[in-house]
Amino acid sequence: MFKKLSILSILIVAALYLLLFSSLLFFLNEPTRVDGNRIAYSIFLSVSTAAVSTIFSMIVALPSAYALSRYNFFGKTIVDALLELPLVVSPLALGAIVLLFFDNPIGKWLAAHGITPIFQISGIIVAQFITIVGVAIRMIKQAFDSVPRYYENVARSLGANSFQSFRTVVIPLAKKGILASFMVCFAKSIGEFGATLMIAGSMPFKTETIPIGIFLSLSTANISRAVWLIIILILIGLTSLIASRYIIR
Amino acid sequence: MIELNKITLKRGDFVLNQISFNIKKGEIYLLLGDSGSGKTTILELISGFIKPDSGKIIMNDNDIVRLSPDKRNITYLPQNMSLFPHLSIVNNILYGIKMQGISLDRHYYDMLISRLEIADILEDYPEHISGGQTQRAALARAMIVKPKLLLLDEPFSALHPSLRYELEDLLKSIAQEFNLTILAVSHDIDEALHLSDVISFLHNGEIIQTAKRNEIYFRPRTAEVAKFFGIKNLFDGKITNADEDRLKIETVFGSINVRRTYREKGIQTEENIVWGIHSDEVRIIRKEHKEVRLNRISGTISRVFPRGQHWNISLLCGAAMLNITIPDFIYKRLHISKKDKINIELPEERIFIIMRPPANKQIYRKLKLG
Repeated sequence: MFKKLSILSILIVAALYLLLFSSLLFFLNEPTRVDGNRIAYSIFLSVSTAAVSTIFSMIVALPSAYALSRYNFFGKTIVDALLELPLVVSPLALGAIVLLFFDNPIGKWLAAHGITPIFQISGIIVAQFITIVGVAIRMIKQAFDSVPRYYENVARSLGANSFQSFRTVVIPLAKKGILASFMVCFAKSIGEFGATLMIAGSMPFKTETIPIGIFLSLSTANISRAVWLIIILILIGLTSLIASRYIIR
Repeated sequence: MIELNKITLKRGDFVLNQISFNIKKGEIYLLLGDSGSGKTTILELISGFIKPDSGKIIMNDNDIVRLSPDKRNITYLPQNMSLFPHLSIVNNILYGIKMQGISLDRHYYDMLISRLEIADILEDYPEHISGGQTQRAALARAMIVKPKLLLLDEPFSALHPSLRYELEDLLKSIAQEFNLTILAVSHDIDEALHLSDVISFLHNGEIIQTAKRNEIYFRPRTAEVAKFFGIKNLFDGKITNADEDRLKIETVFGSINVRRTYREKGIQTEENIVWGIHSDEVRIIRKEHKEVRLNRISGTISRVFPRGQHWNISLLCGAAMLNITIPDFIYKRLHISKKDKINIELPEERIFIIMRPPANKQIYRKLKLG
């Protein structure tokens, strides 16, 4: 009985999503006001900034996750909790924090020396980075946790230094988890909206990512454009998630 | 070759207390003890994965306590042998050579591969080879870097006994052939007695006894060691006479004679001791045997039950119970059964004496009553 109920509940959720997605099809007959170049720019901007922010987050996440997985250090519990903040705090608030940071004396000094992401493409990368880096660290930490410590011990006793054992044993054994984390972070970056809006703004042909494009299209009642952008976003996201499932398997 | 000198480590409630021992080149040294006694921790200390609170680890006249694991030339093999699953067997074996950037001794490599009989599996991955092949490949990987010391953590405990004996024999012969120095840890008495030259018995983070394998088995120094080796025949006694080569002890079975060894050098008359004997060292005297023997005791069989290829007999001698183990073929010849009266002999050279520290009093009483 419980088995049937549990399967029914997941089927209802899936049906709900399908109903929502299929409702988009009704609007494809709307008079076409789709600017191909603008959509292409949004796709290119989203994919390229997401790729850069995901690579940055991986560079930071690999050593950070290893430290959290293997070492005990002062303040570890607090650091661990901080990493979960982006999961519970609204991206809009995170973006607002960055915006306000560049209004404080340090931020103003940085801006005066040309270092500011506000209303810049680099702002999109910053926005995506701050929302995904915590997720990347958490996912990679789980991958490292699943690599038994004794493999590293054996590697060390055979003459590998700590970086060699990390590179030749830990990374290959955690490879699937790391790749899955990359795909999830990439998909999440492409879909990032709140922090991007706060930091980079919503300027067509400059900071208009796919989600910003959806927002701008709806605000100007260009439904068909919004629908096409949503479909593109869903396709990229779904492809990434399915790919990550295959990688883990 | 390697010497541990008063190594102390405290981790929460667990304490390794003043661990000292010395392993000679070419020796197979074994740390024996229950789970949680500190065996694996000692291996991790010697490997360099953890640092002691105090004490020294001297290898070839140098203290290596502060040296990182990759600089020690001590190879560690954990219980499951830990072949890297993402590397083929040949790449597993050559891993240490690549990491250390040393050139491969082709002759030595070929000799190892042929001696360990793993030529056929070199291109395979660890998940596709058997348990025995895993052990052989792991041994090759550990030996290819020519370590000064090989550390084995419960090396063959997960294997079927027949395969285990085969691999233990192989390890012993290879150790001799290549003059390997090995420190192994185990909780398995058979493995310890079969594999090692010298055994240290570890209990609650302390070494209780270190001796050659026969001595520790036949002459345990404390009740903990005796209990670990499954000795149930432990009894109180009082020395009534102490000659140069023989001791007389007043026991619950009457007066018995014991051959005196170097260990009982300082023993005095009137001293309270604990004495014991392995159940398979107690000899049953056949009825037709009329010859007068030392340490002859009579008793009534209260229980007989089979245990593998042996029979265990509980013999009630007055107020005390003596445990006897005899092989199946002897049991069949003796035609004995419950409630039979039999005579037994306690060979004087097989009785061991445990000096009695006050702290162990409780254990002895418990064992005697049990």
